Amino acid sequence: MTTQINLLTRKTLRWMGTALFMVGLATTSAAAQQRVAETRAARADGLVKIDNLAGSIKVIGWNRAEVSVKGTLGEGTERLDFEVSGNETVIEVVLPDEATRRRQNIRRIEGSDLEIHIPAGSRLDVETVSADITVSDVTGNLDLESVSGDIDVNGRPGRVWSNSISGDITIFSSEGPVRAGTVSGRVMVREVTGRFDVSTISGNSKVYGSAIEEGNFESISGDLFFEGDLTTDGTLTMENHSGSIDLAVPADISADFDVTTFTGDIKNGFGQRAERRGRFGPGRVLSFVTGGGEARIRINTFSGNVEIIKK
Amino acid sequence: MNCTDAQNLFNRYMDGELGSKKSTILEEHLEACPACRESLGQLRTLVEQAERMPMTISPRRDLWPGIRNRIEEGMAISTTKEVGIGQIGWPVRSLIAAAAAILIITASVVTVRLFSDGFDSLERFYAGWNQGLVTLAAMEKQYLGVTKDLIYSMGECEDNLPESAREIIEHHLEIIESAIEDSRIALIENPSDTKLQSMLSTTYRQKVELLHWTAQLLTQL
Repeated sequence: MTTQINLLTRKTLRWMGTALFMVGLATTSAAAQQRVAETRAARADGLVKIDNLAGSIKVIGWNRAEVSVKGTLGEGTERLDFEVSGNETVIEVVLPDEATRRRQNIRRIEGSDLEIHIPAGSRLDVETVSADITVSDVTGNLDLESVSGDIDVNGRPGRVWSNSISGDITIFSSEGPVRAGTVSGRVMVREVTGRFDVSTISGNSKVYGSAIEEGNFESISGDLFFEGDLTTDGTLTMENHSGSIDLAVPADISADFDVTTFTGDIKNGFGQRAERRGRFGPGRVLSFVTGGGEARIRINTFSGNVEIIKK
Repeated sequence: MNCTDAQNLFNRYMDGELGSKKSTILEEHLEACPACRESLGQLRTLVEQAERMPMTISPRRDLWPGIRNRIEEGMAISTTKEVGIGQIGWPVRSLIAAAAAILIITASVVTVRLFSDGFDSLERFYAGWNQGLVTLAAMEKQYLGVTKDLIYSMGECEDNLPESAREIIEHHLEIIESAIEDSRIALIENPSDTKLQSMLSTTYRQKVELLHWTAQLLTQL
């Protein structure tokens, strides 16, 4: 299995130090807030990088060759940097450094809420600590990273790489590969095709897909659920320790199933019954083929229960 | 019967659960195939070793003090601060963790040697078995080295962790340790179970990634 939780970038981690300083995001003082509304010309297929430590980031693709930013900078924020250079647009909420905070006796920094329109074909790179990220109608590749904020993606983006420690990730529809990794956050992916990788430690995951060429799930204690079908020679791998695995596939799927669990139970809607292996093998094993058996489905748990549902 | 078919039957054969017809076919194959004879012999040795092992290996539950203790105990920790686990490819990581699984089979003996004499003795220990296990032991050595570096890089900074981050990390390290413990115990009884090894490798990798993340965080604070 090749799935892995991508490590957060150094920048995001550095931000977490500053995050200690941030309080009361929901109780911002209107007098201290600063409104922003700026627009710049930008390439239709350029890279847009957005950094905002806390608050919210809403990114919307549109059919203009412009990037527009509007919203509110929270109390204590230093400024908004918004620069376009060649193919790259950078939008960054800049916070005062520690020396400035001491000098100006800044005792709180509040989150900033930004709504950003970008050319639909842009590539997008967003980093936050606690800010929620929402992306819609962007067709380029997405790199989205948060520590505790939620990540929501709508539309038909290219590949989506998304990581959060405790935030939830929801991806609704994707043309390209999807990778979603969390520690405790939940993952929900809908209408994915082609390839996906989902990894959590304790977060539950659900993926609804079609024509899956390669799907990989892994968790330790989170429950995993997949519903959909595979391409003729597609592969689906689901590995869990104590969490459950539920798999719902079409009745006419042509696949080679290999299911093992050490102490969990196996229920099979296709009818074949799991067998107990010898003392030196896994506790239960279920191997069977439907149709010509072209696709491959591999499921492995330690104590988690497995259920295969025939649709 | 080919070698794959034969090896798939080893467990049941050793468990006495293979019928007489299949046993005969397997024995005929074994007679003609030195490689399979050797594999079966290794499996028997592993099982015999495993059966002499204690059935429980308790992980540290109080992880942060444990981390401190390991540093204070002066284990041969590298001074390398930057650990490029992210650059280690999956096949390598998988082997590292698979090696860890093999290590666990002989946990009591190996652990004593590992922590008293250093890693070289671990490799010498395995050398008495076969070259494949030596390779796995080398991978295990690498895995443990990386883990130690990560722990070292956390140093004394752990108090700087935001409380919320500390809770998440500690909680999930406990989940991971518990999963590792489960797999270790199971592997003692089922040393050749590749599925268990696969699960253990995944768990180790996730632990390393979580530790790496924590180490990065601490160096940034």
